[in-house]
Amino acid sequence: MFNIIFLIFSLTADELLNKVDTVRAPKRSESLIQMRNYLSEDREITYKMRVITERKKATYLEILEPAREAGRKFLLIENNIWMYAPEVGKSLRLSARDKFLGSEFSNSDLMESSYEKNFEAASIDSVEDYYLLELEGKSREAPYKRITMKVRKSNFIPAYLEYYTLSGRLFREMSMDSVKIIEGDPYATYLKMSNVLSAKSYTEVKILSFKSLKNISPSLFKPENLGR
Amino acid sequence: MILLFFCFFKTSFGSELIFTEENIFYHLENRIHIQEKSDNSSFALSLRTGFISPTDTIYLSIDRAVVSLNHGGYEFSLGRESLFWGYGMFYSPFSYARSSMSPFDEELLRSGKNILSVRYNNISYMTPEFIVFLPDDIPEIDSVKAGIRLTFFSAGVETHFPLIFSRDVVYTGLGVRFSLFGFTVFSDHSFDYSSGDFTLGSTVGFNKTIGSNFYLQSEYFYNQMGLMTNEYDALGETAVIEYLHWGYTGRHYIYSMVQWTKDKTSGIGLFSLIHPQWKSGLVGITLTSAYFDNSLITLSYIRILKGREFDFIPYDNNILLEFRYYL
Repeated sequence: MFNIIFLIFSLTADELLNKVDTVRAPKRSESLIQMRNYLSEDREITYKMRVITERKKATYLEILEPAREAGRKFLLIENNIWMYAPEVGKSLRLSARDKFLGSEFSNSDLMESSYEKNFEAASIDSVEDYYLLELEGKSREAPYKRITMKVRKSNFIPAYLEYYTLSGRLFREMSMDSVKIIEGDPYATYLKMSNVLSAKSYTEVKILSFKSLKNISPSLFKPENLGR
Repeated sequence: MILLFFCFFKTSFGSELIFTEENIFYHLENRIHIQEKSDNSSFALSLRTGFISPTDTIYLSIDRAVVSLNHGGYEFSLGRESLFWGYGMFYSPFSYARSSMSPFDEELLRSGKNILSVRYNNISYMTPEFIVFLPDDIPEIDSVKAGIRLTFFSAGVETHFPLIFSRDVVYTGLGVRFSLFGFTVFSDHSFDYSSGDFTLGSTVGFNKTIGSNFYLQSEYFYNQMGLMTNEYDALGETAVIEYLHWGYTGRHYIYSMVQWTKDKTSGIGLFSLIHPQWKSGLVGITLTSAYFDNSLITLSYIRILKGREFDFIPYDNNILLEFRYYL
């Protein structure tokens, strides 16, 4: 009964998905992020990266640290991902589902700035301070078959997400925390992605700095320019 | 006003031992890469310098030294630039815009080309470029090439169309790359016209990531500039040396590689370069470890499959051990 009232007087699933996407990132932004990949109890790799995003259009990512990986660049347009490796001098075209630098994030998890592009809202519910939103992949090209998320009612930032494979099995889970006000809007600045199949390995992402941009040079979002 | 706001500097030192049946070679190499960018300009410098013993030679290779200025969507570039026209990893039929690969250069390092180019970046689905290829040595009008190249990306499909003129040859062709059932498929074709004849070159291949750790790539190269079997055999050993360019001497080659990586810290790769008709070429295996911070240790074994052009390689077995440190 409560759910029916909630659905009548509150958000629809589509509206909630739209709000989640809107607060995920501004229209255009540049951020500096740190990714720490915990491979085992005594082994971790830390990356520092510069990310430039235009929501629903493209994301450019460049690795700054560690020195061995520095200069590696990634570009996401629609569901297409290119990786430029300076030691090879060429850009390779990859799959959005591949692991990003061996981390628990897929290329799409880290670089995609919109859920609406690949997913449609399937259902919505409400529990205390959270909305429960379920997304279904629009096609087989979607990075996951299904995503469920607990979304904070206060700011529409997801707190916890579960990712399911094409076979319907729970594959990854992510928590989003440390919500901070940046340029007047709230953003989650800490993400932790775990693989439910290998409990000891997980990946943390911290947003070190963040700013919105007025415009982005079109040359940045061209695969043929990655080596430049 | 030119304001540099993003600066990137990367350098690494490599120390390599190469074991063959008869000799041990030592190779010391330093690579430097500098890039500075602003909204309206950029500068890139990539160079390698090293020492090889025996022969005790010191070398310096400037792969990139290029300045670019941007205005109103136009990008003007002048200098030495690494060009990689074509979508193949190892082969490209557009050899004038891409240094040919050596099958013995496992890191696929290539020197650049001297260019002057103007490209327009403000069309989202297309990049038109006017480019002049300048000669490496003394400026001679005969060795200058100039023309246009159109690059498209639309509906997930990448294409490019070069049309380049030199005094005696018209270089044209097309290339396409797209995803299909999880595979990345690419195809490049060159049609070079000179004195009433077309010379064809083609690279067709695919790459695929399998699961989270496997990467597979294979490509076929057709090289009409290369020798057919009867032509090669008719030349004899002395004359054929003039045509020797391992991996390019003949008409047909297949390059394949499969790579397995674990957590970005270690990996194993198998690769081969085969002339299918001559049943010669090379096969190799590479082990890499990035376990130690800012370093990469690589151990490779290359086995030469003797036959025709590969008979001229003096060794059957090569082992390479490299330690590279990144600052």
